[in-house]
Amino acid sequence: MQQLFEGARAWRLWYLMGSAEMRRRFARARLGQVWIMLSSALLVSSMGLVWSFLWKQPVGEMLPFIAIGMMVWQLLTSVLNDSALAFPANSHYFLNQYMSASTIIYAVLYRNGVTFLLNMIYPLVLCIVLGNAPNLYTCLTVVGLACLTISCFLMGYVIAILCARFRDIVQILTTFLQVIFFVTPVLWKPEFLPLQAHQLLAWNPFALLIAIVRDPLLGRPVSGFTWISALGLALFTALLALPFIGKFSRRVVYWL
Amino acid sequence: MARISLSSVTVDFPIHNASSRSLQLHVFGAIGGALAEHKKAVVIRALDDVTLTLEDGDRVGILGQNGAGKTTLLRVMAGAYPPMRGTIAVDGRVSSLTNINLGMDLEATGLENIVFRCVFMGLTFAEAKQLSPSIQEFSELGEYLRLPVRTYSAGMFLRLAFAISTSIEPEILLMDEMISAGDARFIAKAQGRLTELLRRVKILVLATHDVGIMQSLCNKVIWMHQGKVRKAGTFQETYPIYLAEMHEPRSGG
Repeated sequence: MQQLFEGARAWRLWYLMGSAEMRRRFARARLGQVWIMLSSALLVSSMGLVWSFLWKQPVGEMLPFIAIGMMVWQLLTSVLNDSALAFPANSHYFLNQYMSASTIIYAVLYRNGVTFLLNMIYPLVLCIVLGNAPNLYTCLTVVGLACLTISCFLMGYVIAILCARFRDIVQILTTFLQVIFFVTPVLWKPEFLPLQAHQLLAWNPFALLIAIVRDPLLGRPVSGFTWISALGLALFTALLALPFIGKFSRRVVYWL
Repeated sequence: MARISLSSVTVDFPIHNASSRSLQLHVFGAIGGALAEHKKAVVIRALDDVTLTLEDGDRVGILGQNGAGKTTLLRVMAGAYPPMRGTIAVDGRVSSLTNINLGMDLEATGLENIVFRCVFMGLTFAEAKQLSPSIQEFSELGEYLRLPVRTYSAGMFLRLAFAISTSIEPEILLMDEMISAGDARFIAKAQGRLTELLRRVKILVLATHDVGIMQSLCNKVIWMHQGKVRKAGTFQETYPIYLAEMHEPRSGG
C-alpha cells in the first residue's frame, strides 16, 4: 500500500514519463493524437456497420455498442500490454535513482487513460446523434470507470512484476488477450448467446469490466448482480494483488 | 548534517539466464518432465557485509577493479537497490549523477528538457522554471534550445544534460566516473562549475579509475574487492597497497 501512495505522490514523474511516451509515438505525425482518434473512429465505424448487418441489428443500436465496447477493450489490452514491458523498457530510471515501482504503472495508466478519453469522444457523439440520449443510468458510468481503472491498475502492476521476472509472459499475454477477445461481448451482445452460455459469461472478468462502463453510457440498465460482481472482482483482485505487490515490487529492480 | 550509514549491507544478484527467465520452463520443470532442465538461479554476491559511515565533509573515492561492487554500492546509496540484508540510513538530499540525461526526452525541445530533467532530480515544476534561465545561459545553446533535442549533436546534448544536472545542489552527490561535456573551451568552463559543485556538497562519493582525480578530490578512499570493503582510509594509506596487490601475481586466493 505504501508503495502505491509513494508512487501517486511522484505524479510529476509519471506525468512526464507518460507524456514523453505519447510524444515519442506521435511526434513525427503532424496530426499526432488526432490521427489515432481518427483511425480508431474509422475502425469502430466499419466494424460497427459490418457487425450490425451480420447480426441483422439496427445500426443505431449496434454501432454505439460496438464503438464503446471496442474503446474500453483497447484501453484494457493496451494497459496490460504496456505494463508487460513497463519495467524492462524503463530500467534506466530504476537503476539510477530511487523511484517507487508503482510510478511506472501510473505512467502507463495515465498515458492510456488520456488516449481512451480522447478516443471516447467519437462514440459519445455517435450515441447522441443516434438517439441514445443520456439518462439516469448514464451517471453510473463514473462508478464503472472507477472500477475499471482500479482493476486495470492492479492487474497491470501484477503483470508488470511477473513479466520483469519471466520474460516469456509477454507473448503468452498477447495470445491470451486475443483469445479473450472472442469470448468477450465486444462485437456481439450477451443476449445473443443461449441462456446457459450467458451464465458462463459472468465468469469472464473482461466482460464485466466492459459492461459496467458501456452499458450505463448507452443508457442500458446494469443489473445489481453485475455491479456486485464487478465490485467483488475489484476487491478480489486487490486482495490478491496487494500482498503480491508488497512482496515483490522492491525486488523488481534486481531483475532488470 | 548529511550522513550515510550502511551496516552489514549485503546485496545478491540472481543471475537469470534465458531458461530461468522462462515461465514455460519453470512450469515444465515443476511437472517434472525431462523436457526442461531448470537449475536454480545462480546468485552473485555484489556486496558482502559492507559497513561504513560517511559524514559531512567526506569526499570519498571508491577504488576497485571491474566487478568489485563499486556501481552496486553507489546504487545502494542512491536508494535504487534495497539491501537484502543489513540496513542503510541516509540523511540529506541525494543526487545521483550516474546518468545525467535521466528524464530527458529526445522529442521535446531543449527548454522543455530543462524542466523535465530538473523535475526528475526532485524539483517542482515551478522551481524548475525558476532555475531555467541560468541553465539556458550556462549551456550556451541559445536558439537551439527551442528545437527538439533529437536535432542536437551528441556534444550539444551532453552540454545541456551537464548544465542541468550540475545546476541543482544536493547535499549528497554520487558519481560513477567524472562527468564532462563539450569542446575544449566548454570543458574548461564545465570543469570549473563541477569543481565548484563538488566543493559545496556535504558528501561526495565518486567511483573512478582516474587516480589523479581521486587523489586531488578525495580525502577518503574505500577500496572495494569482491563486494567487500578491503580497506578504507586516506589516499596515501590505501592506494599504494592497492597498486601493489594489483600488480602482484595472484597467490593463494
